[in-house]
Amino acid sequence: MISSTEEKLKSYLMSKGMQPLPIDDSLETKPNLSFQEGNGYKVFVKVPSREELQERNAILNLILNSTTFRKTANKVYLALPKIYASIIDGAIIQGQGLGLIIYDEKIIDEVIAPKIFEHKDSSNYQENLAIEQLVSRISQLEQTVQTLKFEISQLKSIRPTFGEAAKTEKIEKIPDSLPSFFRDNAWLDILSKRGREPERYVS
Amino acid sequence: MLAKAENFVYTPIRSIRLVVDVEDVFSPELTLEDFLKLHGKNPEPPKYRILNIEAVTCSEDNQPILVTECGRCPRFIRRFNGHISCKKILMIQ
Repeated sequence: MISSTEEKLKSYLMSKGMQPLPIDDSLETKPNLSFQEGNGYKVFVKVPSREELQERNAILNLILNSTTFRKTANKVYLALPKIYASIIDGAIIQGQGLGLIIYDEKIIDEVIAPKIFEHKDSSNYQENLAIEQLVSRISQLEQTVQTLKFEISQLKSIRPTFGEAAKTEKIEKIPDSLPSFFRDNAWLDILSKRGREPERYVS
Repeated sequence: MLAKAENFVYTPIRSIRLVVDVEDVFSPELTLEDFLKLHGKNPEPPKYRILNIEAVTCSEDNQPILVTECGRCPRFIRRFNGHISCKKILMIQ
């Protein structure tokens, strides 16, 4: 019975453009059918037998077992007889990222589309790692630029302006100990500004 | 001229919890709410058992049916989020 169902499911999925794959023996729990889509996605289908479905909580157990396929396959389908599809809420199956195919003597139909599980292969992993490193370096550089900007703005606020400098100089008192030519000397004011004012080029 | 068009119907599932007295076959079956109102206590086993009946109104003939019966219907698609999704054939003139 199960083999005929499997054959029907196989022809149904092949009509959707999938190619059958041999089932990997190294897997702990094996699917009943394995396929490959045109885009390289691996598709596993779990078809429970009548004996498996007779047990109490069989469907729940089946869903939990099928979730282990997500590690190796990109898409996982659960194929259930139509009458069982009315017992279990499809939202539970969809919540686990599984797809649902229902079947009876006449029809086979996909009623819930599975979620696609992306697996990191080695080349993609290396690329992603390099991108992550670049991103972290860029963020470090951004932080450095921000601190530099902040320091520059602080330095700008500390540097005295010409007006302020003039004011402070005017307030300064010339000590009495200095010679008399220091008093009311206009040159002192000019010379004290040297080095602070922008250079003037005379042609 | 008649034309056929397919439409999808989403029928909500009604869940009814019935209390059954397994020691007295003549005692009436009550819903859990009615039982609590009438007896003022919880139905304790082994005398009482609670059954959960899931029923829907068939979109074709408007008759109440069990949800499991939907599984035998050719129009049934799936059970999803407490609703039964099924096909309904419309005749357009």
